Amino acid sequence: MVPARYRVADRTDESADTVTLTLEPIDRPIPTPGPGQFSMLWAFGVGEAPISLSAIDGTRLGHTVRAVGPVSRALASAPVGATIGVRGPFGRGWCPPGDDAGPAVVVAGGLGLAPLRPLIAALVAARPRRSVRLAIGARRPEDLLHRGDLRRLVDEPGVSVDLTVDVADRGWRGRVGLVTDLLDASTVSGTEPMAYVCGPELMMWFTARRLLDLGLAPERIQVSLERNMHCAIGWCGHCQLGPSFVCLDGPVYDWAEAEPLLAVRGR
Amino acid sequence: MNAIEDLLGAALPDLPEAAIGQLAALGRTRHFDPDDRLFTMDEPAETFHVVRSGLVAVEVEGPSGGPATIETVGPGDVVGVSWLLPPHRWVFSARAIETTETVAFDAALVLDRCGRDPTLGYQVHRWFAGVIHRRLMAARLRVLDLYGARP
Repeated sequence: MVPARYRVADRTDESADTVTLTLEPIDRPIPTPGPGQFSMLWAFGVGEAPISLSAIDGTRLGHTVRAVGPVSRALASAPVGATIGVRGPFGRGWCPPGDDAGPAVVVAGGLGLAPLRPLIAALVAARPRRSVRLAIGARRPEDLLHRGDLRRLVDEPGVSVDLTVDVADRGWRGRVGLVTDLLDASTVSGTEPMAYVCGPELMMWFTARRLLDLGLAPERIQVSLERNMHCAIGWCGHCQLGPSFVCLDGPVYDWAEAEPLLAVRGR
Repeated sequence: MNAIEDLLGAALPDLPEAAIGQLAALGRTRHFDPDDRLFTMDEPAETFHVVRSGLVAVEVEGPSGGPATIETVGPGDVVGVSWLLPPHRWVFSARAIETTETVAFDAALVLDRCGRDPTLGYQVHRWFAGVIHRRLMAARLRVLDLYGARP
């Protein structure tokens, strides 16, 4: 429960309110996280918040933070050299496809691209065994995160990148529309893919339904749920969703698990 | 089947091949360079398009500021539905974002053919009902602001 001290080694402004912090350990590092897991980040004197890993590089950790509350605002404004507390890693991350698996489909909405970033790196590294298809949506072009990554991935063989935004002016030369519009019959043709979906809940809900309509089995769709994690070790119950503690059993669930949990919440 | 018939066959799977051929005979291939207009809002809606390749922006131009893109339309999808109903004027404009090829249909000829062949008319209207339904659903979801801020 005691946070490890990390230093902000670098910061990259992703958009007007979102920053990626690169943290390196000052003393003992936390155990190496897996893609899809999260950390509890302390802004000392302000508070603690669960933030997913957006990069894993040895003992260096990447966290992409959107400034929306007191803690996330304090974290997002931390300068290079600042000290941040880190607890973790927590939760169950993405379950990557087996070696004999088919293509991977990654669907990200808004800030949801951040927790998928380490998974995308692992999937891309696993080529040419499997192709990787990325479908990414955001509200506006300027809200697209990790644009440097996306530019590099466009040129990678075996990787396709489709972007769409909700609102754009004439300067945007790409697609305008829902991220679900990027998914069609070709998404699930051939060997049945494994789909990884992260974004706001409504976006994941409609994306999962779209993938199901296209014929993908619910067990082959993974989603990452966000809840109000406080202790991150299953004690406090803040993140309980039906019978499940998101901090322990999640945040990644397959759709067969996630759909009834989300239905419980809706009653 | 030629390329236009293939395109229509995918959009209208329930239509007999002969009817596909009749409809395809009304289509003409058009080429658009980036920023070329397919049609302009408020003008008579005389031609609709099915995109074969490229990307088309559907835009609205208001009194304050430049055009805003409402959606983009890619291969296999339809650009333009205002021709179906009075007053047969375009509600939005359409512009090629990249080099685009479409099959353009003379709306008056299609309406006339649909009027004389109820089976064809039913299938064409069913096709466009699907297009309108899909876009209505997309518009409703976008109103929900799927990417709203969260911690």
